[in-house]
Order: sequence, then C-alpha cells, then structure tokens
Amino acid sequence: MFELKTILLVEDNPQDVELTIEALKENNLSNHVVAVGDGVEAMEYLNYEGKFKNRVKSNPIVMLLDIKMPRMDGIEVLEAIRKNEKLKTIPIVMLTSSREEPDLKKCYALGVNAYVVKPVNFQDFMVAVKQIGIFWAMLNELPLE
Amino acid sequence: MKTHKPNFLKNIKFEYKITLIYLIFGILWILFSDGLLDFLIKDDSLLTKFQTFKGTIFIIVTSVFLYILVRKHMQNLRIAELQLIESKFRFDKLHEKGPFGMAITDKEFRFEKVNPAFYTIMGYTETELRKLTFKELLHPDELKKDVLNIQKLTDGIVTDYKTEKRFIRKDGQIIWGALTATSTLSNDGQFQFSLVIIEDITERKQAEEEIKKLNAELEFKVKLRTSQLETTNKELEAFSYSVSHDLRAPLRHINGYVNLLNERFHNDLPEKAIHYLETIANATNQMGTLIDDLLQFSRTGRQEVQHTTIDMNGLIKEVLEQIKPDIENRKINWTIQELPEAYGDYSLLKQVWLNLLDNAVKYTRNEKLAEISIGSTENQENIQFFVRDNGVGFDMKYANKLFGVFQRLHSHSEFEGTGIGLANVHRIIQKHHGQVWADAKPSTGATFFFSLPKK
Repeated sequence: MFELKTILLVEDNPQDVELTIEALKENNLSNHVVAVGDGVEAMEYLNYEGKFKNRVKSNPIVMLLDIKMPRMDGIEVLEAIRKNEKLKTIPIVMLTSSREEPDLKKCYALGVNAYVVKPVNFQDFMVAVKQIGIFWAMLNELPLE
Repeated sequence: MKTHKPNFLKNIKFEYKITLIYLIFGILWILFSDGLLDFLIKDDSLLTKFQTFKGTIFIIVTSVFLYILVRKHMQNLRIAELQLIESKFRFDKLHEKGPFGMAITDKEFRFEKVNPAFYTIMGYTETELRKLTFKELLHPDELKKDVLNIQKLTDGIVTDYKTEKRFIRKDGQIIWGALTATSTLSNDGQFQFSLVIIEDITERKQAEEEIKKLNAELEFKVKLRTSQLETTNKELEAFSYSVSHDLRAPLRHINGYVNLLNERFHNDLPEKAIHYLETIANATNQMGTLIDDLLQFSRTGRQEVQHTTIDMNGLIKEVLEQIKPDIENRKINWTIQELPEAYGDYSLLKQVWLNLLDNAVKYTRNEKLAEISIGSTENQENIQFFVRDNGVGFDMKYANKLFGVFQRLHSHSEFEGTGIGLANVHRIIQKHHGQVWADAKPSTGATFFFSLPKK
C-alpha cells in the first residue's frame, strides 16, 4: 500500500462535515480527513500553529474548502495560500453550497483547482465527493515538497 | 506696406488733361484757321467778318462740348448723392430704431455718438453716457481682459474685437451683451474711431443658465436614482446569495440524513417508514430544484442583455446536445428548419430554447411517436421562431396563466415542474423587446412562438 497524506476539509457546518466524511468512507478515505471549522483554523493547521504546533510536517494532498465561513472565508484562505511560497502548490477544491458567478470568477482568478457545488440530492452529493476523493487523493500526482 | 493713391491726384490729372487738350486744340485751331483765312481772303474788311464768324462758330461748338461734359458729370454726381441718401436713410433707421446698441467712441473710448438702443440697453441717458467711457460699463470680473483687448484696438494691432460679456447698467443690474467693436484707421494707420455694437442677450444667457441648472439637477437626480438602484441590486444579490446558500444547506442536510437513515437502517425500518423517508427525500429534491430555478429567474432579471449576432442553427444543436440524456429512450421525430441569424444575448436565448425544447420533450412523453418541429417566419421588423409538438397541449382558456411565475397547467403528478421555465422565457424575450405567445389544443399539442426584432 502507498502512504496517503491528509485531506484537509475546511467546513464550518458540522452536518456537512459528517456527510462529507460519510461519503469519503466508501473509498476508505475517511481516516485521512482532518476537518477544521473556519479559515483561521485552516491557516493554523497549514502553518503549524496553535493546536497544530506539533503535527507531522507535511502539506495536505488536497483541501476541500467551503466559501461561506465565519472569521476567514474560503476565498481569503485561497488567496493566502496562493501567496505563500510553501503552500501555493496545494491543490484546492472549492466545495460550496451555491454557484455564484462572482465567486466562481474570483476563485479561478486566484488559481483554484476545481469548483464543485454541493448537490441537494444526497446520492449526487456522494458521487461528487467520492469522485473528488478518488481523483485528488489517489490519481493526482504532486511535485515533491 | 500698402501705398494709398489719394483720389484728388487722379482728378487733377483729368482736369489738367481736359484743359490742356482745350488749350492746345484752341491755339492750333486759331493759328491754323487764321493762316488759312489770311491765305484765302485778301480783302481786309471781309477777313474781319470771316474771323468774327469763325470765332462765333468755335464758341458755339466748344459750348456744346462743355454742355455735354458738365451734364454728364452732374448726372454722375446726382446718382452718387442719391445712393448716399439711401444708405444714410437705411443706416439712420438701423441707428435710430434698430435693436442693436451702437456707439462711436474715440481713442480713450469716450462716447462721441450713441443711438437710443444703446442707452436703453445700458439704462443711461445720452448726456450721462457722454460723460462716461466705455470701460466704465464693463463688468469688473472681465475688466482686465477687456481693457487689454480694447488697447489692441486703439493701438491698431487688431481691427475688431468680438465677445459675449457682462455689462453693468446704471441701476447696477448685470446684463449680458454680444459685443462687436470695430476700429477705423486713417490712411497712415492711425486710429480714428471705434464703432461699438452691442446686442442685449441677457434673456438668452438666462435661458442657457437655466438649462445648465436644470441639466445639473437632472444629472444629480439620475446619479441619485442610479445609486439607489445599485443599492437595491446589491441587496437583491445578497438576498439571492443567502437564498441559494442558506436555504440549500439545510435542505441538503435533510436529504443527506434521510438517505443515510434509509440506507444504514433499511432492514430495521417498516415499509411505511421507508415510504415516508422517500417522500421526504423527494420533497427536498423538489425544493432544491425550485430554489435553483428561482435563482436562475432572479439572475435573468438582473442580467444585462449583451447583443451579438447568433447562429440559431448552431444554438439549436447545442441545446439538443444538452437535452440528449433526457431523450435517450424516447422516439422523437424532429423536423428542424434552417433558421435565420438572430440578434440577441447568446446565453439568455439559449435558456429560451432549452426551456421550450425541454417542455416539448416533456409534454410529448406519453405519445408513441413524438413529433417536434422547429421553424421560423419573418417580416420586415421581426423574426418569429416556433416550437411545435403533438403532446398533451392545454386549454387556451388558461393561456393567460402560461407565462406567470409558479403557474402550472398540469398537476405535479402528471408532469413535474416548478412553473418558472416559461416565466423565465417571457422575461428574457421581453428584455429583447420581443413577444412570446402560444397556441394549443388539449391532447393535440402546443406551439410556442417568440419573436425577436431584427437588428
């Protein structure tokens, strides 16, 4: 077996966190998920700060990023990561509730890797999350850090 | 330098010429005729008689010449005089009764002559004006500039000066005048006098000011309205954002947990409970679609129409490709005419075709063989497109409800739908200044038309 790195899920809604992890479970990816509640926590995780001070030094294999979150929203996180030399290669998938044209444009301008709208229908949601998991965590190749 | 050739030199020359010719001719004539008579007549008393007779004839002939000459000269003089009188008459009329203020001013711009219009415009009497100089009538704001320009006139640098400016009347009132000052120079280039003409344009200027003020007010109002509209638009955007985000999220959660419950605990649940769960899931799906459609509708309302020339045939192909998954197991006989180019917003008109074709496909699904045709007709102003199907159709009694939001002519159990599609079509075609209408009969089919103005 090859070694799997973490999937960082940045999502403020606990139900969404639970449902996303449920969907990833089906591909045995759920053990690799780290969930944080907003953008500030996500940046702490990436920069080994606060409660993440002592975690293993390694960038996540992919970030699933919600847009609307308290304190620091997804677009701000995206911008901060793309500006940071150490973090800018991390693949980022926006996983959001709505398809708003201005958000889409902004995210792509900031260099997002994918933009996925969470479907209302759970089956569709499962398919979407599973596909994201398989592609980014298993198929995609990343340069060495 | 232009050299002036004074007139009197010419005249003197002419007078000299006449006198000289007369003198020479006279002397020659006397010498010649006296010699001739001397030669021909030897009798002294007869010679004297002949000489007297010859002298008389000469005087008569020269008198006739003199008469003709003087008469002609006098005639010319009279014509010139008449012309002068006429022109003076015209000038006097303009001077005395004309609307323009006229004044003759000297080197210091003191008034030498003023006409009645001039002192009416300025509000002074003639005697009062004669004590003033022109400079004292000028508005202080422009005085410096004006004095400079007047100086150029009196120095002979320029010969006229035209401007629209303010003057101050005797009563202190400020008036607007169109000023033309022309200087007349002597033959050696010395300033002689200025003719100053002023037209009172106060009313015109006031009207212009009024228009300027009104324009500024209008602009301000437009700006205000625009910013109000922008605020409203932003609010609407924020509203639709939260609708799409905040309403969809709990809906997704309900659907998600109901599905998880149904999957994970399927064997522990009675059949009734599974049915309830499925119903809840369906309801959330339906509401999800409803929210998406409503958002699309509100986006359409806010979207600006970006006109381009559209290849409708290509657009139809694109739309058919998009609905392909829905018609995989269907038998549909498509009749698609060659369509003309149209002028409109590509993405919006795509929504129109998508809605109309989607409907045609949906409402023919109970037919063994669905017949759907697409075509167009055109007149000078418009192109009319249509989509005809042989589906369930509807009663024209309810045609007025067809394009309203949330209006449906079929029950949800017969045909699913949110009642927003045709409202959206209506809104888009309205934005294109076109029209949309339908013709149908129950159980024989429906035809939907929409027209677009030509470019």
